[in-house]
Amino acid sequence: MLDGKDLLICLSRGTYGRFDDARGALILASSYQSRAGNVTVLLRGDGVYMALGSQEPNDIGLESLISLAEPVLEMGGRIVAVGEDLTARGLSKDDILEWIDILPEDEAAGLLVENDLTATF
Amino acid sequence: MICSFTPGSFGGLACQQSSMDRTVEIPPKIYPTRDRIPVPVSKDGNQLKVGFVITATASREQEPLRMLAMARSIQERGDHVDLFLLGDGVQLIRGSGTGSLDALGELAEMGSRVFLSGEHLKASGADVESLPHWAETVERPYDILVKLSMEEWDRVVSL
Amino acid sequence: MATREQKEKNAEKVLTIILTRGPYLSDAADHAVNTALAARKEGYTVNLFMYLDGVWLSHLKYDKDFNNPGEWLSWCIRKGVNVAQCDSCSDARDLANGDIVEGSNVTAVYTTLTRMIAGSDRVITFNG
Repeated sequence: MLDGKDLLICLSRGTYGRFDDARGALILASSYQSRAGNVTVLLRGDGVYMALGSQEPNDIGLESLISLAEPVLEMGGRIVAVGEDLTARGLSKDDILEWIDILPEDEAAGLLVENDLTATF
Repeated sequence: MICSFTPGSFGGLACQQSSMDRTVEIPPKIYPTRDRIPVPVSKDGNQLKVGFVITATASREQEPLRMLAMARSIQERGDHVDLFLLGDGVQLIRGSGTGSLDALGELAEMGSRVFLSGEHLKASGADVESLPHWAETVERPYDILVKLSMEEWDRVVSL
Repeated sequence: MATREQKEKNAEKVLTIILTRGPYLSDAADHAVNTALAARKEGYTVNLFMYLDGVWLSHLKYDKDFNNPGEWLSWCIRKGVNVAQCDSCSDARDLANGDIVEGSNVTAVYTTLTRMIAGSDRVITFNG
């Protein structure tokens, strides 16, 4: 296990239309969480669509992002979504996975300070 | 994380990182509730300097205007924010209609430094002479970006 | 430019640059290589990891009559930037060792990028 710093991964792009960004972010998140240090994934902008429940992308030939996100949590990481960005897209807490936290934007900003390093997708 | 209640600029809860304990316990499948998570203060209680490196225009997916709002929150809570506009990010200084110029101006009034890449400003056709007084044009943008990132800023956020 | 003593001191600090976009469609690659070179000039230890579409940068092997970020990538390698690229991203794009600039290490996110980030003082992502 590497003695790594706390890493914030920001995802601001939507899900299956920007699949590689979302997938890349989650793969880095689970890799870092399992091997190096604590990870928080911050879903902002269109990235909040990753928080939606009931995702079934099989028909478009892609793997489910939820299946990539769950290991991050299982290994002790955290996934949060910016509340204002959900609201702006007509989404509420009832639409998103119950294991994703919702933070107001000003508190999400605190994550940028609290984490040592930030990678953005 | 060890948390204790002390007055602080982030709503009253100060968290201190425990010494590096990397033993990972796989938690049971009880995921966190939707309670509001308190915003932690800077780890050592001192003011941190955060640099935002922006290469996107206002309408791009990275939503730089929302990021500027986050930057403002950070500045309001006592840490220091600088902006570094590079590539298409320099277009934020034009701002008419998007609100980006106002957002940058407000941050500047709060003490943020706003750096703009001179070569990208010139490429974009901006009139350097008519820039707001708080905008600092830098002629070797990558040299300055490296210096700020490695020597001055405690955190770097890029989009 | 930093003095020799300053460069020796700077070598202890590590900058990791993550590039997730290919050349030409955006200027992310230009920002990444220029930042890497500027940091090496000052003596910092620099990692440049090409991830997702960023691996396409390593495919620019030949000279061109126009802006060529691939040439800058080669300069990065010559100047001692630790250049690496995601193996599965490269596979997905059919980029094998003969298709990429010499000196770029094709390697895994799990091993290399996590190690790079864990050991860094700063991380800058260019994803525009």
